[in-house]
This record gives sequence, structure tokens and C-alpha cells, in this order.
Amino acid sequence: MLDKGKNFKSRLEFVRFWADYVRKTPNSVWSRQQADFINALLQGANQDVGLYLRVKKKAAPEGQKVRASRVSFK
Amino acid sequence: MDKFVIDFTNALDAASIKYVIVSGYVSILFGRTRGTEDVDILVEKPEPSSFYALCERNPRFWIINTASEKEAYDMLIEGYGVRFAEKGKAIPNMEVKIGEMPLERISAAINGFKLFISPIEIQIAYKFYLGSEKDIEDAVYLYELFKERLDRGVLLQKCEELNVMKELNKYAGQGKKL
Repeated sequence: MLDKGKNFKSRLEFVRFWADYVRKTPNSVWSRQQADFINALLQGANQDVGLYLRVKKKAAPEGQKVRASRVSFK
Repeated sequence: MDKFVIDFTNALDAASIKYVIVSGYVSILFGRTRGTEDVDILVEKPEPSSFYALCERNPRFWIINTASEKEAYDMLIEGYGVRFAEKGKAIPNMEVKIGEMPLERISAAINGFKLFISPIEIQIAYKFYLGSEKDIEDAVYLYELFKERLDRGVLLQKCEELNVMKELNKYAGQGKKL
């Protein structure tokens, strides 16, 4: 069973590692890697507008519930 | 992705609609490696003529969540997001909403093109406020990348306003009070 806490911690470690890498690396180098990654994701994206909007509609109330459960603006 | 954003913001500029890019794309712009389906963009309330000019002069884009430009404008004015994508596509899309005035924004350059984005301090606080794992990762990324250049006073003030000081200290300060 995946330990969600451990998994998130490890992802945060990667985020910090990558931020450090971006700081120390020329823009042209990191941005090429990033563009390859994002372009590949977009090339594989399902472009069914109806499906996309149905997913958004279903997910939106869940996101609102999570945010409403937090104490918001003072 | 960047080309899509640049083309759309150029269209906003041409229609004289003031904008600011917020949320996930801000961290992606600065190198965060993650995908996104939509780019969130806040605009000043446009005159109908500006909005229709945006739609009519840019046949490359279509609105995916309404049937007509009139309906889209009404939705926008009522506070809903209007989603523009490249014709025939759903992803990526720009989710356009009317923002609170005045729009707080700074400029960023990408390959010589100027974009207006939300100040990083506000983004960090807002991402902690949104609170999903993806949002916290975005906040930590921006903090790590810009920590020496952030206006700490603004960051602390925004985090207090959004009641996310605990998250700021836990994830950005790694347990130490910032």
C-alpha cells in the first residue's frame, strides 16, 4: 500500500531539487527538457471537449468543498 | 504551450483587455515540470465591444464552454470562467475570469515576449490556500526558486490574509518560522 505521506514528502524533495537545478542551469537547458515533457503531455491529451467539460463539472464541487473546509480570508 | 499563451495574451492586448496570468502556469513559466490543462487568467471587466473584438479577430481560438459569444460575455460578467482553446481542441485552454480590481501584476519576459503575471508572493500564498498536493508543490517550487528575492513583508501579509501561515512555515520554512 502506498504511503501517501512518504510519497508526498519524496515529491517535495524532487520539487526542491528541481528548483535548485533550474537556479543553477542556463534557461536554454532546463527549458528544453521542460518543453519536451509538457509538449509530450499535450500531444497525448484527449481533445474531446464534451468529456473535458463533464470532468470539470464533476470535479469543481469537490474542489470547492475542500476550500470551504479551510478557514479563508480574514 | 508557451506559444499558445503568448498568442492569446497578444490577442488580449490587441483588444485592449488588461489581464494577469495566475495560478499553475506561473510556476510552469519558471520551470516547474508538470502538465496543465488550463491557464488561469484574470481580466478587467471588458466592454462588450472589446470582448467581441477578441472573439471575432481571432478565429484561431474558439470558446469551448458556451454556444455563442453573447452567452460567453454574459457568463464572464456573472463571474464564471470562459474557456478559449485552439479551434478543434479542448486542451490547453485559457480560463478567463474577471478579477478583483486593481489587477496586481508584474511583467515577465519569455523569448522576448512580455506577459503579465501575478506577483510571486501572492502566488505562493494562494497556492498554499488552495491546498492540494499539486498546489503545495507549486508554492514550494516558487518559494525555493525565488526565496532570496521575495518581499518577505508582502509574503507574510498575504499568507496571514489567507490564513496559511502554518503551511508557509511547514513547507517553505521546513518547520522553522519564517
